[in-house]
Amino acid sequence: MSDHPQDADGRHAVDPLEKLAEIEVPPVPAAKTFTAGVRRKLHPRLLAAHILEFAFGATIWAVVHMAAALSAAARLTLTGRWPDRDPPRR
Amino acid sequence: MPPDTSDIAGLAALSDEALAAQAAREGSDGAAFTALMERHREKVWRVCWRLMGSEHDAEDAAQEVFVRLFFERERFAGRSRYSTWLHGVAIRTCLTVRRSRSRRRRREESGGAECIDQEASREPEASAAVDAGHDITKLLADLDEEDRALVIMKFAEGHEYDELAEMFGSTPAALRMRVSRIRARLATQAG
Repeated sequence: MSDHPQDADGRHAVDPLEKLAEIEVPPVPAAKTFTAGVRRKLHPRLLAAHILEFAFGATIWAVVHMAAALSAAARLTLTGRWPDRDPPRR
Repeated sequence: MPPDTSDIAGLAALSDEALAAQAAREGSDGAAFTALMERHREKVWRVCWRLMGSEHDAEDAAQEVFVRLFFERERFAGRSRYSTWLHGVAIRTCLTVRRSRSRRRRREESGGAECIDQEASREPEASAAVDAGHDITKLLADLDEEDRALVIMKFAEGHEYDELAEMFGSTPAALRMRVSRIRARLATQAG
């Protein structure tokens, strides 16, 4: 079935939307300036993404590696005693 | 650092999909991404110009499309042609840019006469397409942003409904119905 509207006689009327294709598009900007513009926008965001990724990764790494110390500090806060580090002697 | 030109020559033989897969493996904006950008620059520019309405805004939006494409380059799932997917990215980017600009314009207009003067001085360029004797562009200005993008992609760029369905995240039947409603609305407006 056709998408085009029909007039009272059943003939295809000229669709005003078809005129959209007649509008001429100006020439694309020069490759060099365009690419430079993309990189100018991309690089600061890429740097920010890398910094965020590093900061997030580093935070997780630090938490994992300091988990024992953090839990001991929490225990000290709650009980007033630092957990014994040395294994019990026989 | 600009990519090695010999790489670019080799990449030219690859399909869009293979190039996209290679770009996804690159850690930065390397040779594959550059080749993709060069290959699709004109198409993206055309879409952006039609949706944005001025050369300055279109260039800004087209550059933004490639920035977004870079960050979303791993999301291409291969369900559609790469160019169709890229058009979807371009449409979403243009709609986002247009919405944020229209919000900013409203804020500036309520902020003072100086800002209104600045916007008014940009108007002639923004309406260049309108003045080219195409009344239809004036009619489209009253449409919802997404409806406007839909008719532009359908009638100006000549995409089929199944491609449009991929770009707009809908079904061909729903889009056909939507276009028919838009057409009826435009006919009423045109009198």
